[in-house]
Amino acid sequence: MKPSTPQATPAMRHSLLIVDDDVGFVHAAAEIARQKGFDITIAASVAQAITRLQGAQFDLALIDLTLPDGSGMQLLDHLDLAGTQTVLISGQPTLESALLAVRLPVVDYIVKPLQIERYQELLANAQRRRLATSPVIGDWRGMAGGAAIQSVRDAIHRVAPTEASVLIVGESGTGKELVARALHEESGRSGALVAVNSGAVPPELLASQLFGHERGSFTGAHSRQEGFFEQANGGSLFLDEITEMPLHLQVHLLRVLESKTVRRVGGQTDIAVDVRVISATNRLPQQAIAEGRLREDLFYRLSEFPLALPPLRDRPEDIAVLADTFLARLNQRYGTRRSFASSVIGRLTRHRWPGNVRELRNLVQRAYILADGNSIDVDFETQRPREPIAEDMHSITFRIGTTLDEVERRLMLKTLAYFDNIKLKAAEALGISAKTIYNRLARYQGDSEEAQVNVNDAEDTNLSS
Amino acid sequence: MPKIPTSVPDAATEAPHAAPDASAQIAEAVHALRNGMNALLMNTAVLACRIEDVPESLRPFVESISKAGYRCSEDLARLFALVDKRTR
Repeated sequence: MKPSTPQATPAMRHSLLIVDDDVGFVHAAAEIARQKGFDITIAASVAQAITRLQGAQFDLALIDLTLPDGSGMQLLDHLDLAGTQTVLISGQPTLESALLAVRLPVVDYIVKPLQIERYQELLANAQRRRLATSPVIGDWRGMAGGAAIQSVRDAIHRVAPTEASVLIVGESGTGKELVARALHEESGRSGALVAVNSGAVPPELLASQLFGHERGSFTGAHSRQEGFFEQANGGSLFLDEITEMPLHLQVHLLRVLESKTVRRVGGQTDIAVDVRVISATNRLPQQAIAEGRLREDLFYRLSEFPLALPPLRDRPEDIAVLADTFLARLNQRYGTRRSFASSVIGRLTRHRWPGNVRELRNLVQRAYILADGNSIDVDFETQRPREPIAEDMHSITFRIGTTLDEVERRLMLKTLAYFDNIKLKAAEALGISAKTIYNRLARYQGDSEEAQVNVNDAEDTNLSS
Repeated sequence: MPKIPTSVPDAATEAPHAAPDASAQIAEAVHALRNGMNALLMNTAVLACRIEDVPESLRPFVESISKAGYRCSEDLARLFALVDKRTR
């Protein structure tokens, strides 16, 4: 099993993402896929899956529609649908989510129980249908682009074979992890590339994940665990969002970089490691130093070779090429011949692209999915994911793709909160019986802390209150 | 593409005169059964895939579990179709 922190997938192995909170199913499905030569990444919630998907690419994604914190549909925007065979699975007997899912041309939908023959077929298909990696998502070196990208490509080529630490600075969506991967692949180092998102790992776990721990060194440390430094020995360690690393760990990290040795949490001995460190941030390093987010001494140690990735708005000449590339990959993947309507490229070029290349890729994917015929139009207003409308105590909003179960759960809890947890009033407002509310609350028990509070409260409240 | 099941109406969306809790409970039970069956079949498949690691005396039982799992899976689909037909 891979560590919970996202890790880069070795180039030649196939990769599977399983998003499901049913541990019994997940472990078995992972075991079968592992025997078929897949690297497995597991997430038990929408939030975990989004973290795992950052900078990673999968050949196959198996996603449960009903997750503790939302719908598996929410993950479609985070997947590279041209490169990832996406399968939504569900045991929920609600027609709406199923229909919504199968309406999309780019995903499969399977009702549980998943038959083993079907699962093995999916794995085999993913292995057969693996496409050349995306020029943006998989490989910077093949990426089309103007002078700015050419400059980055040259820099990668020059610095990769050296021992210099590289600090990649760029806005979100510019492809920092892809550059890290290109640096590692061109470095000639024989070890693995291990990627860690410093901002995504709980601070209390980060030290043991980076440096490893000895058995019994803290509660829950049931066995000795190698840290990411040891796992990357002979290879490269990519520390993303380095400015989000707690300062006390930055001190520790600096010591490891200076001494080239690592000591596991609870350990007594220093272990020599040969690791090339690549780090990245979407903040301006000098500003992060001034704000106390990044230690200055660590900054100088990490940025022997700083590499700035230009935002997409600064290289408009790349937009049309990238959009065409993304569309071509979707056409190739799904055997279609769709093309952009004549006015699209002009509108794409004028857009500011705050989410950079990732935003462009997602926009093309959504436009492809929503196209009625072979001509693809792009409507920024309807196709750009919007921030949820701010809620207050009188209102509630839902994203398209939210399951009816989740809609019902949130509506009920919010209505209860509005009526100060008086079940009868909430029931009247919702047009259901108070008994239904009690039944639902019992069902939600354990789903979330919020629900737990209400259930506990329900036990003390008279039905007629 | 596999056949998509039709819906068991949910309590929150059905007509007021219907029995909302019964329908919701059926939907929930179907969901739980499907998840349980899902885990059962997949774990059985792990054993079947690694049958050489299972002691020979136990191998017939793995086969029996596997067959029973498939039978239950088919029965569950049939039961759900019947329930769905009745609640429409």
